[in-house]
Amino acid sequence: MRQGSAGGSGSGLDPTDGEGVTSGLPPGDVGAAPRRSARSRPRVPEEPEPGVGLGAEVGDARLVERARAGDDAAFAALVSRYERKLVRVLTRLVRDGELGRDLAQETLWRVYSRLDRFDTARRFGPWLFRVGVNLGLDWLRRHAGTAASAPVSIDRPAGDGRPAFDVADPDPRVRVELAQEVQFVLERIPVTYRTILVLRDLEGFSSAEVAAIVNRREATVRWRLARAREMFREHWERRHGSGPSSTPGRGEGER
Amino acid sequence: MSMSSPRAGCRWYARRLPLLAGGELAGSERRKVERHLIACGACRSRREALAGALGVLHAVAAEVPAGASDLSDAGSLWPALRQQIREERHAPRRPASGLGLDDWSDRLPGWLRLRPRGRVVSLAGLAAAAVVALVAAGGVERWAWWRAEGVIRAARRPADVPPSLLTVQPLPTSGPVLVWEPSHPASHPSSAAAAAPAATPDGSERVDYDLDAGTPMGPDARERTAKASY
Repeated sequence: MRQGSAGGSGSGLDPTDGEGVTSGLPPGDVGAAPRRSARSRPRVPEEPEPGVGLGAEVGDARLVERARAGDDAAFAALVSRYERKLVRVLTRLVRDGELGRDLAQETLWRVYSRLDRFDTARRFGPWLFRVGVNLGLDWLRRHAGTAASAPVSIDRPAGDGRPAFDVADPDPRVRVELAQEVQFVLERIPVTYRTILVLRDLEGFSSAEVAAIVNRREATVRWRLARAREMFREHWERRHGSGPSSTPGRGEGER
Repeated sequence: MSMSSPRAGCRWYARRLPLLAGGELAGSERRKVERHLIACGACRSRREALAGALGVLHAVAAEVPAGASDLSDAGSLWPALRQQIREERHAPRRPASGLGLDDWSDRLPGWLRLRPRGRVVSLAGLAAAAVVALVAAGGVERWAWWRAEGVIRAARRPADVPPSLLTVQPLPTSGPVLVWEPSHPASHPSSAAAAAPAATPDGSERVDYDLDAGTPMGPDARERTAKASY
């Protein structure tokens, strides 16, 4: 597993370097959880290219060019490559699976409509996700405070004496509960920071890709990511304590 | 253990701990932080806490998001999208109204037209009043610019408009149909006529439409679009 270099060139996006795009998974192969250490970036397992008659070696740029020339199968291949991840990212942002799909379809439509204006010197993936993330953020902005966006939490008040989540517990119910709790805590984080956290730590985009998607300089993204992780840690600890190795009370200075 | 604030001497290192935990720190910065950790127990505790939090995120990363309808259940988005594409290619030109405004509204980007989930605001009955109000508020410039944009786009690529993401509703008169979906709170149909002039050159409440990305954007849009694009 690659330990991230600052703004590393590896990515969760490029299908042609085998780094793992969550698209084209055969049906039924859902949620495979790769083993990972706490300090490495999340990695999705390598996936086979979709069988649309286009070889794995055909890069995005070629597909974009062909799609612009009217080759719908080429655009279909692009859709195949990215739709799962797109739906996932949007669902994490707006917290509704059906809405995530709707927004993903809208995203793909807009991207299709704008293919002729797309500069092929740019990478397709980050552009696609930029359109998608903007749509998602826009939806959130328009529906802030409505019932649809109210976070749902498991009733688990802090300090009720129950042990903290066992992150390694393979029980699917625990994993679902963990995911819901994470979602709940994410809602507590301002959306700018939340977005970066979702893209980087939940979806595995590199810092460079995140910067391209949110249209900020990479240095800015790094600092926001650092802040976002601190915010998440703080909120998480407030709800769930800080783990079995923690000692009560405040510690200061040397151990 | 709750994290106490880092001492002054630790602050430089403490700020970088989240990046160390996530692997974004490299080179001399990373070495400096790691050297500091050898001596500083407080920072070591902080790093562990961060690693724990990151572990939670990574554990959840592989899960299908809570509430998501996974693609393998609902199927690919491609069939519906392909249908949209075909419909758009074969969409008949809508009959021009007497004022030619229907044609013009056809050339608006999709988000500005009728939307199934959005609000359809027909200003048909108030068309004259709206135009007067917009002119009075100096908005005619923007209107004309929109129209010009639409015409230019149409000239470039006649079939540019997205197909009906929505159904077309027949207009009682030949007035323009404007869909107003600003992130401005005053977007109710009843206040649309009032909102239209209020949303223009006043500035503070204005919603900018980022036509390049095609999304209505909030007040920070100028900042975003002003940055060097990717």
